[in-house]
Amino acid sequence: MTGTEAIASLYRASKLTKYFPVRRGVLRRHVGDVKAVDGVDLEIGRGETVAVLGESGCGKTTLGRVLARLERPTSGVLEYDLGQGLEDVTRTSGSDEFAFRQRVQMIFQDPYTSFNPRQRVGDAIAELLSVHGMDSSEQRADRITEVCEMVNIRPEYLQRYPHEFSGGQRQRLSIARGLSVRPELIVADEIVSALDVSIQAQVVNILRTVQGETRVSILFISHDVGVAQYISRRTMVMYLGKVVEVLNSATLHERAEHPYTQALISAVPTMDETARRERIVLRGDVPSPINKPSGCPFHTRCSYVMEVCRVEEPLLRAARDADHLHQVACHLPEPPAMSPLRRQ
Amino acid sequence: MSSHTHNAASSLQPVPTPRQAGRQALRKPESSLHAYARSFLHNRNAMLGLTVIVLMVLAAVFAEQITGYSPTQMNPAQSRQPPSADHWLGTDQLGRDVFARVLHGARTSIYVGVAASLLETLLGTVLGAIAGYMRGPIDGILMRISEVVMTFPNLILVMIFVSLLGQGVNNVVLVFALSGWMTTFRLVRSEFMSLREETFVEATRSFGYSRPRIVFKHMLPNALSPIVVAFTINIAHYIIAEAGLSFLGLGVPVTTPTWGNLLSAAESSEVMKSYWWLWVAPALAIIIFVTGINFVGDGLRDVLDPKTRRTPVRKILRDNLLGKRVES
Amino acid sequence: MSRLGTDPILSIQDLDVKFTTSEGEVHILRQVSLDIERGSFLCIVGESGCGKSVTVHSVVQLLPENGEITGGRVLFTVDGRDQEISSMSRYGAQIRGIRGARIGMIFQDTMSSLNPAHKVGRQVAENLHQHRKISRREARELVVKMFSRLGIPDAERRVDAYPHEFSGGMRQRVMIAMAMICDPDLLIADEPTTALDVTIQAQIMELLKTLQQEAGKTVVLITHNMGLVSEVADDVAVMYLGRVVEHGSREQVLKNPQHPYTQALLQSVPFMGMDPNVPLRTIAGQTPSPASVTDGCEFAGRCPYVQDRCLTGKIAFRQAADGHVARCVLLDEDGMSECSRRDDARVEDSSGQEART
Repeated sequence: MTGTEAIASLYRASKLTKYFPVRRGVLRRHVGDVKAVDGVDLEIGRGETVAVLGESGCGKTTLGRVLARLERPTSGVLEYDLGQGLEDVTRTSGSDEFAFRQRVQMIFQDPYTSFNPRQRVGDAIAELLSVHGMDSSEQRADRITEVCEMVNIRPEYLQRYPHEFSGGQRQRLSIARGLSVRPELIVADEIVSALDVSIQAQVVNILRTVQGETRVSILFISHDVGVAQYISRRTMVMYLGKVVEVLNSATLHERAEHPYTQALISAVPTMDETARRERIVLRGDVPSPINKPSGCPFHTRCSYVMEVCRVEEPLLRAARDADHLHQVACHLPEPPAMSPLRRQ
Repeated sequence: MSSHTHNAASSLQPVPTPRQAGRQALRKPESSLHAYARSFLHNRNAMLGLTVIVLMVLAAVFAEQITGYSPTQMNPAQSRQPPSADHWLGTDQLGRDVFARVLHGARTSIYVGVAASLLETLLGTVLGAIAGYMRGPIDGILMRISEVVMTFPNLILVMIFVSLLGQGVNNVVLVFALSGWMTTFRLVRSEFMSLREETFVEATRSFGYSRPRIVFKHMLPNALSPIVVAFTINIAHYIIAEAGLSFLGLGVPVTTPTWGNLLSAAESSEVMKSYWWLWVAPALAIIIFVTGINFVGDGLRDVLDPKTRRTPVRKILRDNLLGKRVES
Repeated sequence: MSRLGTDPILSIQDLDVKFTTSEGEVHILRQVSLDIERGSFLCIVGESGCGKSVTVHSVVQLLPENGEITGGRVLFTVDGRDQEISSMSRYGAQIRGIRGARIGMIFQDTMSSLNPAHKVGRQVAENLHQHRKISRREARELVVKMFSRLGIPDAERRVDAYPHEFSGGMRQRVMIAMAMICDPDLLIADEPTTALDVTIQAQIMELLKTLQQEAGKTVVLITHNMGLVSEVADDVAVMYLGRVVEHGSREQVLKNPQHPYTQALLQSVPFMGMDPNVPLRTIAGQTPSPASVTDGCEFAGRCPYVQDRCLTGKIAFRQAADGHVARCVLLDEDGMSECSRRDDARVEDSSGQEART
């Protein structure tokens, strides 16, 4: 994966922001905004798997919801290829929106609440198919059997209600439901973080197999560096509503250039002792997304902070290494070296 | 019928293909309604309540055959007779058979209770669903209206409506629904507000489902249990309300026997003391019927509300293993 | 089975715990035996439902109402004196003298473990007052000292703050302060970082490790994160369905896992820098209910190497190396398990087919 293959663009977001107003007092006075997503540019190619990586409060979930059009962006443009190249879908409604909703499927974090508790799971999938134009019930049943085979759920089980399944099975069923309408993009929001490790592995493997078979694009939102790296081609690292680095997943643990990404990687506990690095301990806590620091969002905790970082916000630019996928938003003229490998 | 033939046909084939297996799998073996009915039938209190209600309704329907008296047939010579073999519950001051009047009164009282509760529930559910799903200004307006209506003392409100609409059985129903819809409205509204945040409702939005489909197919069934329970318990409430209103002479016209109108005979302390059968009979009828309804309502709550359904062992175990306290 | 320990601070011997549920009695822990060496760092790993939490809760007599120790014993040894915790009354003075004073507990959920209505300093000091005659001022001084030792900045001022004024990581530090304030010999941390971000997790782990190495505390960490285990543990115990299935030093268990469950667990986690073309190892099916497995090996239903002799009888611990034991019949006398030899050849079908139940 050198990143040289040309991939047709499927979805592009430009200057995307999502602010949640904060109101206080009896008069519900507007006192500020939670800048959950603050100027994100992003492009997903057909058949590409992109990971969005970040810690809690970085805005990754909101980004996913805006991209799945569950939240309306405060500003910015969403463009999606509905057949005739990228077109603006930020505010579409009617048939375009409907087409978008078939092509983009969201899978949610909590497997326990993502199915209607009063509907058999088979019916839930059938309903989605029938709403999206599959009229024959025989066809629907065949398609459901097909997707269930993809996720290794026996068709007999479809008679059951959601509460009769385990968390891992439900998450697989969620994937099956999303896949049934042959989407082009799956937005997967922390879909394995509620699962036990061995079950998590089942879901990750299924997602990878499915991706290989159907060439569906996946936006994989996660806080787990290992899983994100394993599943994706490209990783976007978010911090306080902004993308601080975009890099090739395969080499992210060696080539990260942003001080935050480096700190994040050094903090991940790993079984691979040869990859274990000296820990970079970040000072303090993540600042509040309401009163964001000026300049670089990371400057309050960065150990390489310069004068310019406090004033001017760094923009994403090509990284120093040769990989053309790699972009970083940092003022440092030379990327700091990754922290050294730990001696055993 | 068709499913039978299909099953028979498929059983002849030694090995069904995955496709056929899949199609068969999508056929429903037992509806959830069946399951609910089964667990309701096993609820002793609910079944007791249901039996009482059914018996009383049957008695009301076959009142003539059971008592052999007309509720309006007067017999001045037999005025205020205590219970006897002829008149099981005695007679009133005009010599009318009290048993006949209690059973006929049941017809109107139960009708008023059921009809008022039904109308109220319908009104409250529709408005509550709209307010809870739409939120924003529509919700604001509906909430303000419900608040204004609720600031009036209920009795005064009812009296105002009665004086506007006039007395009469259906007017009482209408008055009850108009003055009582706010509780159901608020219940449904808050149910919908929290349901709206549920992931599965979000999911239906992300699937591009239409608003009516989301609201009526996915949200309403999940809000139905508290509505059904409230509906049942409201029947009891309105039967008591009817009795109270009629006691005050504001409810159903005195010419129609209702439990309330019968009770109002006990207004004087003389009746209270010397002619106990005149008021004990309707009072007991009210108490027994209302208790029956409440038993059924509680039973429904147990059956319908998955949160109060018996916790599966697996969950208890999981909680225990996580060190959580087991919910009772 | 116990490992050759020279000086265990805590010795769990054949511990049985049962829970009474609406559907009868369920055996949650079966013959759990663990010796915890003084001054060591033990990680108990396993997935949800394996009994790792129940084990440490029974050690300090903090089982929920419907749980009960039905067999075995727990010995706690301090100052050369053995105390049998398992025979103490659940609410008695004896256990209260140990819990909080000699054994500190740290839980996952910091928000519900701290009382939102009281200042954190007071809550930490309360533990001191509970166990020592001490003046308010002295207690406060000790708390401030503990806060700064645990890296809570501006400790003098922060003792007067309320829990909601702290971030998740700082709240966990307060919890550790609470557990540490009476200078216990043993610290038990039940998934303390599961709800925290990795950068914060790293800080907390550093802190626990320092407490072990510099203050000489014995630490028991319950976790499901194998990466974490490999970074901090001295010893590792793997639990499955209420039993310890493997126990040994970190090197032994992680480098040379003997039990098929441990092997699968280790290969199911994608780690940084892993070859993305290698499918993750999965374990077929799901953890069965503890009530359904009564005979033979509890992992037999999901084990890829299952044999007839796994299905019945008592599976004894076998020694793989000095101090390294596993409950698996495939582990033969020379200490080399058949399954680890076969392991390279066999990678579980990536899908995780449902186990027949």
